[in-house]
Amino acid sequence: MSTIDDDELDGLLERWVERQETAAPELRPPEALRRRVARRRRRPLVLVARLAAAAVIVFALVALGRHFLEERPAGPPERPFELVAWKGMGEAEIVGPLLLQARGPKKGGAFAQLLFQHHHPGAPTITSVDVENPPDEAIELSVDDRFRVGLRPARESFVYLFLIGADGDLQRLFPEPTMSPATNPLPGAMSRYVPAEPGWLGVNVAGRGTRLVAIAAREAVVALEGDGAAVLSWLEARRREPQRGVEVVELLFDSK
Amino acid sequence: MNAKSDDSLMVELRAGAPEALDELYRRHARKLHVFFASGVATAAPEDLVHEVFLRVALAPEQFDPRRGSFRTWLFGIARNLAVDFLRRAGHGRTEVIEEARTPAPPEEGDAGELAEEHQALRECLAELKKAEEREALLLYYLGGKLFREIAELFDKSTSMAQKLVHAAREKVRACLERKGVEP
Repeated sequence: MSTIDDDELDGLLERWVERQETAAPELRPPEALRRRVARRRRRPLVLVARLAAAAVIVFALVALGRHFLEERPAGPPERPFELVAWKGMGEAEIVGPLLLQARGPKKGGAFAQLLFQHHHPGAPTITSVDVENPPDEAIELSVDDRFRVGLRPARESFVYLFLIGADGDLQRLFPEPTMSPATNPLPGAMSRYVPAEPGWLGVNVAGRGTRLVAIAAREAVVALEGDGAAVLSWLEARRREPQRGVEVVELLFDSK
Repeated sequence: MNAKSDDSLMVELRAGAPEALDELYRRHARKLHVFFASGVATAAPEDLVHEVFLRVALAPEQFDPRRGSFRTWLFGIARNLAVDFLRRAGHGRTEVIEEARTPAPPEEGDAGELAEEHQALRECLAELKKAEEREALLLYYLGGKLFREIAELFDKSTSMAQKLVHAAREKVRACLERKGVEP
């Protein structure tokens, strides 16, 4: 067995730390955070300028409120898109093509962007599906594929993400410390992945009827922080009656 | 070249200068990344680094240079975040799958030996059962070997900080010797 003296051990540890630092990615502050810092900057204002600014803010708030509080149209999914050749839980059993239907997202809504990312283990590429602008071509998923959801609220929001099986079995994906260290409220315009990169969720649920539900709200929604029954009840109520200041986006997995 | 101290940058950050945040990121983000990636069992070191700076940027007035250095304060936030993260983790039903990384091709010669040495060191650090020891050792080498900073971070005396780092070093040494690592 080799022996290592103090200097040698120091050298080993120093080289290792140095290499880890060199290999670490160069991280930069998210633009949303930089803007938030810049908001602290104060400049002297004369009274007229203050009044003008106040008027602009009131006008902007009214416009924003109208925009944000706009009710979502009910009814069938607006933009269905296909995930073809879904394989189920069995041994390569082909259940059939899978439909992934998006309900609720709209341009200029509470979500600046909602991404469904997926990839096949070992494949060199990761596919990102912008839920607002789904691709024309079909997407192929199989049982070992992995996926995650990219969330970017347009403004500071309380964001919730759930995976709900056809049998009503509900799993909270966000906020959830095992999925992401981020907590509510999420700052506006900052992207978060659930699970956090480089994590993935496995496609291991029986496809038909499974829903991914993303919610962005201006205020914390107590019911969504409760148990599964409370969440399902709240979602059912929103399906009947949309709530102002709340956007609900559903991704429904279903086979043809 | 930017010769401003961290304390000066914090003053600028309080005044609303995003450039100060850029510079603080440049100086400290990589070290924080190493701390989280090596010291906390997490698949998301980048997110945790951003969380640390989010807290810095949202409440810069909480930094008081009379109570310690900026780096000590920063890593104090990181430690709290790590403890919080680990305490809350572990109750999810869906397993998060870590990114499957393609193993690097075997290196030859000196590079290969270095890679083996670093792999052994990573494993030995992971073998440190006490998170406090692992964190203390990492912070010691990341922070320029200052026992005073370790003492402040862990709220211990300097001699206790020395003992903590010493104990971790001895365990890593024994592990490396067991693995046959030749410096």
